Amino acid sequence: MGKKKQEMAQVYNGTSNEFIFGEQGGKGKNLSSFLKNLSLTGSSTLSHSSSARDSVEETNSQIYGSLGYANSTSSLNSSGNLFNPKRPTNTQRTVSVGSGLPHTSTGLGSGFPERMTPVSGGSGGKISPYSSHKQSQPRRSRSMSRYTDLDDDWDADLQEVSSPKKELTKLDTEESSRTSLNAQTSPMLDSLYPDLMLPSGNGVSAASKPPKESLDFEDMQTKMEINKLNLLNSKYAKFRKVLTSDNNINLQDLRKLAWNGIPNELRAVSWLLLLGYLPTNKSRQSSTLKRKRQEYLEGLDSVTIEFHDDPPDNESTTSLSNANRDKMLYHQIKIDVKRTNPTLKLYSYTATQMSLRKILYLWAVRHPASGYVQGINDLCTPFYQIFLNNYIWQLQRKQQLLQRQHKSNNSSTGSLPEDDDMDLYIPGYLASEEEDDPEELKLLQDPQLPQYTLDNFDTSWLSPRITAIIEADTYWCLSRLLENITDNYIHEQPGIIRQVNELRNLISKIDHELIKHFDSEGVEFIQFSFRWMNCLLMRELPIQLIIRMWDTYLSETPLGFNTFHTYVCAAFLIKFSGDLKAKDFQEILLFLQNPPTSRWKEKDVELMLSEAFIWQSLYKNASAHLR
Amino acid sequence: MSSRKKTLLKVIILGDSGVGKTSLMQQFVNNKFSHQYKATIGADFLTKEIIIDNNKPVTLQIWDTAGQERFQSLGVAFYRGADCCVLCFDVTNEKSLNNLTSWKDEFLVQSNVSNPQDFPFIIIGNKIDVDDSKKIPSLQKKLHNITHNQLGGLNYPVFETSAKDSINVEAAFEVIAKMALQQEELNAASGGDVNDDYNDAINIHLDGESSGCGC
Repeated sequence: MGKKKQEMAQVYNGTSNEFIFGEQGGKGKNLSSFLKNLSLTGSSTLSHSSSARDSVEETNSQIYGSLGYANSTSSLNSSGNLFNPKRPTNTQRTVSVGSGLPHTSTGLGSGFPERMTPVSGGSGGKISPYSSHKQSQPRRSRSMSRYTDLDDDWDADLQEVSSPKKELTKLDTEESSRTSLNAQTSPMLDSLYPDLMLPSGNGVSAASKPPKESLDFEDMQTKMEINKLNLLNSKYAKFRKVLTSDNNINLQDLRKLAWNGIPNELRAVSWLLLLGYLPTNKSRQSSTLKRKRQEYLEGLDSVTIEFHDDPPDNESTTSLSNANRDKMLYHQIKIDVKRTNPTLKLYSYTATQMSLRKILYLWAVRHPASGYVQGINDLCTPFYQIFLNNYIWQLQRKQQLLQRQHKSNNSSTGSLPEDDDMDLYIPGYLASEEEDDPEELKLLQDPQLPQYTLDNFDTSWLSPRITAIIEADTYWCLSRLLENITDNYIHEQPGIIRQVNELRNLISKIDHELIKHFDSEGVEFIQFSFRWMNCLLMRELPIQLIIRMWDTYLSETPLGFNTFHTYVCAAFLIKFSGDLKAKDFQEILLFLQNPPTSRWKEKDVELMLSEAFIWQSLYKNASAHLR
Repeated sequence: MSSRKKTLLKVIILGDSGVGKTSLMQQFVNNKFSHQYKATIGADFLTKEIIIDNNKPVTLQIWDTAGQERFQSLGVAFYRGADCCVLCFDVTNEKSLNNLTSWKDEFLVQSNVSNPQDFPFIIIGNKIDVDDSKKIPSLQKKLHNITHNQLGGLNYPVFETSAKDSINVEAAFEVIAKMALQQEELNAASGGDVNDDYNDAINIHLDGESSGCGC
């Protein structure tokens, strides 16, 4: 005990934040001992000893005080929010960003944790490579005007000006070679027009800015729009670089980038890589995919069930015994596919439903320990969607090329001009010259093609060839995903039970008031968070936001669908902490069953992810002590 | 629960996947029907205040559970303290009818009710709006067979409903509420709805770990 006290003292006495966010990136000895002690204290709170709780609060306020979290509400527990307070040590070098993000403001990378490591002290130390990747959020502008830096690296240090510049020129050329997005934008735009930045730019660099002209609102909006496109462009360029610069794709680099979101066009290929389904070695990609897709088709052939569009639904009347388990399984999948994302048109097409049935059925018979469990139908939809989306994108690009070829035609060869982004395509999606695909030809001649999106594309237009490919890729990605959470779906679902308990433990550390309130109202975590785990929050958030979340989940190592997800759930719950504390049992359950997320934007999800990240860094090794 | 002024009645809805549990509940609580319900995961919660008998206002807290077998181990968390259990089947799906017995047994095992012999159950056959040709042949006979031979020979009330066309839903829930109220009063009279000693005795999951003798 004496030793523990010593360690605690070490932490408490720290007057700077170096103990937690020092050079060891929060993984130093001091942090772990602090966490150990914190968790020991935390566990005693479960006995509802008020003195123990007080000491936790005291501990927290001391610790966060020493971090510079000068929380006005004095207790972390009562506000449940780590992010309100300023961190004086960091603000001096932090150019202010993110107006409209009151939660994050400064410090910790505007809510986008750079995995702690690069958060240097106030001295303006080195910025790790992470930081130059992290703020590729299109919505977030920087107020930078001193130097041209294409990546939106608002807090890069001036000492580092030279190196980003080198990279910049490279990116510029790459970027201007892009044909789809950049027609009206100039990569240098943000340096030419510093005014385009959000008007919040009043940090250190504000002084060096030229005086702002008064812009009327419309002007401002247009320019912000341009700026957004510009940032998107630069993000794309960064991904492009990682994905194409080498024959062997650097997964680490890809993860760092992808954590903050992947551009739509490159999402499918990035996910394939992050899941380990697509080899990083380019020379092996085509053959691997070909083999895997073939394997999927052979798997379907070996399955005895007939994937009729509408099989006679008479198993109920004929099979009184349980003899035909396969039929029961298929029946379950069928009725669930029918009610998968029922509000989205894409999932109402027979072709879509047939694909999902096949994927789910094959997965279930291949994984008898879990079999099909309701909710898995939800989990395969993000994959299906992004692969279909990628196919549409590739078709559109090809159509553009064909049209250009047609215009500039007649000169010399009839071969297609090379697509600049050819090596960003997932191999095999577009039919090769030997492959006969009349449906694809028809789509390529369709004048409406440029307007097609997931919202208006009818999956019956797809050829059997590409249908099988999309199904196979979805199948393998789903398999990869589920490998990480097998425990969630086997008998008694121990993985989910564990996660629900972990969530409760986390909340008891982060927001003790909320736990007390839940306890007094008789609310149990299993009552509302079971579904959060079983469907990975897919029932709580719109699918586009889920897809954005998965960018981050897939960039976590190990994949974030397990542990990290629990932290995300904690962040999610705490978002509503204030509301919940004013509600009784019924109101709480009704609220959590239908949380007000329909208007959420990407930035809400990103904020939640970064909160989750910080809590994970703080508590990850501590939770073990609670058991 | 008994400390509150308003009477809260906890109702559990059970039955195979796809028989229309969610639709029934939505029809009863919100008077609407939709084709867009997703499969229930875990259990959904809804409440409705109604007035029964002699102007007595009660609040029904209804747990709409997931039908898939895999979720049955969750029952312990959701069934506890139930005042009435609704067993649902689909009049076009014979298997769902045959499963009623196992749903009832499962409920009794997991809920630890103090009076398993006369705990109030009610049976609802949903989807009577569907064409007769699709319905279970000689349904009445089979239903009679199940309620009298398999469900312990007790006369559980049976309702045939259509959540889609709102047939009999209101009536069924009125009976549910009355039965639940009786059970609640019974529990209140016997001093709390859960008896702890009894709990331990039939919780099969504790068997392996408890060091003492369970008998």
